[in-house]
Amino acid sequence: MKKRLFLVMIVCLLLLQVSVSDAEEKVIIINRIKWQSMTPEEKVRIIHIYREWKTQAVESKEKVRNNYKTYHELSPEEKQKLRERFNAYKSLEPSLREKVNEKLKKVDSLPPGNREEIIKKYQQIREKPADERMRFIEQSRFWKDLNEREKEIFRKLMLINN
Amino acid sequence: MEDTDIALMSRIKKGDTKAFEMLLFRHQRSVYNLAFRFLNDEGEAEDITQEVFIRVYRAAKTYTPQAKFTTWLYTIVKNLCFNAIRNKKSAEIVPIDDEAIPEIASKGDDPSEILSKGQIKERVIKAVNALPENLRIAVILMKFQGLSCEEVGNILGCSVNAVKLRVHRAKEYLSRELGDLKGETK
Amino acid sequence: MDCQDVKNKLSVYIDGDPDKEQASLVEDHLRGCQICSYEYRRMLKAWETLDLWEDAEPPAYLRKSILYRIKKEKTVKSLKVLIPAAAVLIITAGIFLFYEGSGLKDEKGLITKTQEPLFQAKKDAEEVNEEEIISNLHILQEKDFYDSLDILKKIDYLPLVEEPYENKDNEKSSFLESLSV
Repeated sequence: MKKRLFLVMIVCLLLLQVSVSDAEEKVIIINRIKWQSMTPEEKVRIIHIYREWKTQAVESKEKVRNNYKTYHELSPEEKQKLRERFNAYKSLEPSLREKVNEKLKKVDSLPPGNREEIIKKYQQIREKPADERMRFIEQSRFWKDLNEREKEIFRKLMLINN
Repeated sequence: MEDTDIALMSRIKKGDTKAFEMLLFRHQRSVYNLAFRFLNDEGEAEDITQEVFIRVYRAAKTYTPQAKFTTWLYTIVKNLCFNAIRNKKSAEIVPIDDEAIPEIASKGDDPSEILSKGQIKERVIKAVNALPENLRIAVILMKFQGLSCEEVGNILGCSVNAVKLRVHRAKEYLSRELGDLKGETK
Repeated sequence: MDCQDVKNKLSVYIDGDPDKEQASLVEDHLRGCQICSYEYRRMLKAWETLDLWEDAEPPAYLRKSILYRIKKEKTVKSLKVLIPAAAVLIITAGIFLFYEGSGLKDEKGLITKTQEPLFQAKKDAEEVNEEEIISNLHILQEKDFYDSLDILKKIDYLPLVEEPYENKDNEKSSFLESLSV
């Protein structure tokens, strides 16, 4: 009897919490439960990430928070695609990952004419089936500069799209 | 002497509501106008202004000044504006074409027509709104908020050169749209 | 400086190029070239015409509404402190009743033992703000993923980025032309 009474009290408390919360606060309630059920090792890992997080600029924290929201607004297929890409991206060596980041930064600095041209071509290539796209990619200067191992990783990264 | 924004933030951190009111008074107009010009929707601009200041209030507790206060403030406005747009559109996974400039918006308008000030203002709004989001935000921050390329770069998370390039592309488009208008432009 | 160079520099020139030497080269060219001078006037006029879009006055109720929400937020915050405090009290009382009533006194030692490592982790957590961790846990757990999201979205654009930039003209055209087939 006392056991039941105890459970009822906990459920009532949780419901009370939920009723005064908005969506954001619901996330916090779930987080609290998750945090409490974590093993000490998991907690240590999270505390380590938290300490790094604290040293980041406000803007970059805001960027990560926005990315979180963006991700959760995507369709399940798109989420899956990004997850798979991330797994491949994670497997890149730091130097190669830096190479990817550097190359992507170039998007912002392309001269207007080249940029428009590239966007147009990109849209054309996006419509094509994976094998055809791969064929085009293999003709690119970017591709030719990669070694065999890098090619294998990039193949995985880019073809995950389909 | 008036408190700086950072001083106000540290007073808010200590629970000083008056400091928050001062900060709101100081920046409400610019936040509202930034959102309004970007989204061209009064209702959404109001929602975003509210949300921005609620976030500022919440963040006061952990706020550590690492950049100019307005850089941080406008970054929040920019992020919320982009979220609002994203929520309207269906989610597009590769936003690579978001700087593609559309076909000339005022096709069919007669360039020799003499326009009233009000009509020209309408064309201005139409032309700015026709700009792709990344170019539009750069133009609004530079032209209407009066920020430097460096500040705009910090808000948008890109280099000064990228900002210059975006503004250049926007100006090329705007000069096609507005450069030949005849009427009272001052 | 040829017409194309000047065209590319017009925007910066209008904003007041800090590089005086460049600005004077653009000026010299504009004086002698009617086409560029026309482009410059057109761009300048367009940029100045934007001034017609004056600031709008935010509605008067907006300020009140924000202050009202802040006030509400403060109240909810106090409630948030009170409810968990009450919860802790009730749960503690509940646990006490539960173990008192179910005759599991012999297991108490076991429970204490398994809590020891947890206590250690808690001690570590005390150096940091546990509430802050909890409110950001959904992000912290997968921070690397959310950090890389922008890159992940753009990744299949990679092979094209470099093309018009670093290729020699003949290589560039052959590759880009092949794309439009």
